[in-house]
Amino acid sequence: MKKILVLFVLCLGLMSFTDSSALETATENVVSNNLVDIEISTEYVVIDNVDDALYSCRATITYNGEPVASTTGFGLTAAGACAQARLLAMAWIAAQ
Amino acid sequence: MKVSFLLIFSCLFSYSQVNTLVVDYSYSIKFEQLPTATTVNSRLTSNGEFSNYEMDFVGNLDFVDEEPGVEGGSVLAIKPDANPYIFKDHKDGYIYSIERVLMKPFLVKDSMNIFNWKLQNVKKEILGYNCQEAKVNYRGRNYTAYFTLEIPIETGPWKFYGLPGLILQIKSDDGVLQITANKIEIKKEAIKIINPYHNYELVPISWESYVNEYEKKYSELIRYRSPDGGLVSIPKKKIETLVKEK
Repeated sequence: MKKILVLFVLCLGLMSFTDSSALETATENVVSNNLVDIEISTEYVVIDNVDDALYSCRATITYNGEPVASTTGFGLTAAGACAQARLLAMAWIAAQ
Repeated sequence: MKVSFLLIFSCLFSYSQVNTLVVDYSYSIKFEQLPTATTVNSRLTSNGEFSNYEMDFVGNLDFVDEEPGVEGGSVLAIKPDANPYIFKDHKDGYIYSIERVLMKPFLVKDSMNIFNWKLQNVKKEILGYNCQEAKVNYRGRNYTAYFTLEIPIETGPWKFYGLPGLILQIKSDDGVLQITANKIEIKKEAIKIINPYHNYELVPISWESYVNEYEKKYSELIRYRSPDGGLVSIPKKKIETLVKEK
């Protein structure tokens, strides 16, 4: 009887440990998923919140010597931001 | 008195011999957000009733498709496949030009009553012609022009006109636009000047309608984000102010 009681207590302990671990993992996943969602759909919101940590860079598109449009890229480095701005400008020109 | 009369008479007489005027100008624009100026040859052809001004961007040998920007970043240029024209119908009082919202073209039929010149008492000589200074504020920039009474045709390069003689030089006071004549040819034979936008595929719209279209796109782009979070915007001001400060 004592053995059964000890086994029961051990099982309970194991179950509560497993639940706790699973909950932690699930919570991490939720956090992670939220971040991914923000980055994909509303990146500018994240950019606004952590403005100090990001670089912005501008590419200007000209036609007959006049600026017709400009694109702005954002990145964790100046080079990354400029690459994004340039790519966006090139894509825009290609679409014309 | 006799001398003045003779001078006026000789001016009028020489004008009556002019049937067509062909003036070559250097056309230069330099916006502050761009690292270099763009300078091209341009030509004004006028018979007094009609004027046509062509800017030779297609033949620009200094065309650069990409260069570094003023404060980092880059400047990418779209190569034109046709030269822009500005046509003035002096009889009906309209200026025709192609204006763009992003790259979408609009044929604009603008009134010629848009320049409120103030004559100055400053004179200088350009290409051997005595010129007088005039100033105007036009759509967001101040300009100083030099015109000559010795060629009394009320026309000039780009959209400029409305002085009592040919405009030989015009510069915006902020240095953005500079147009200077470098050759004048006065032909005695009449040359027919045809509106290059006659039978054009686009229906002409007024300047006000064009500005409305531009402002609509400007507001639309304020809310625009590209899929990777980048922004696209259009300038409030090109040579002319298009979006007024509120």
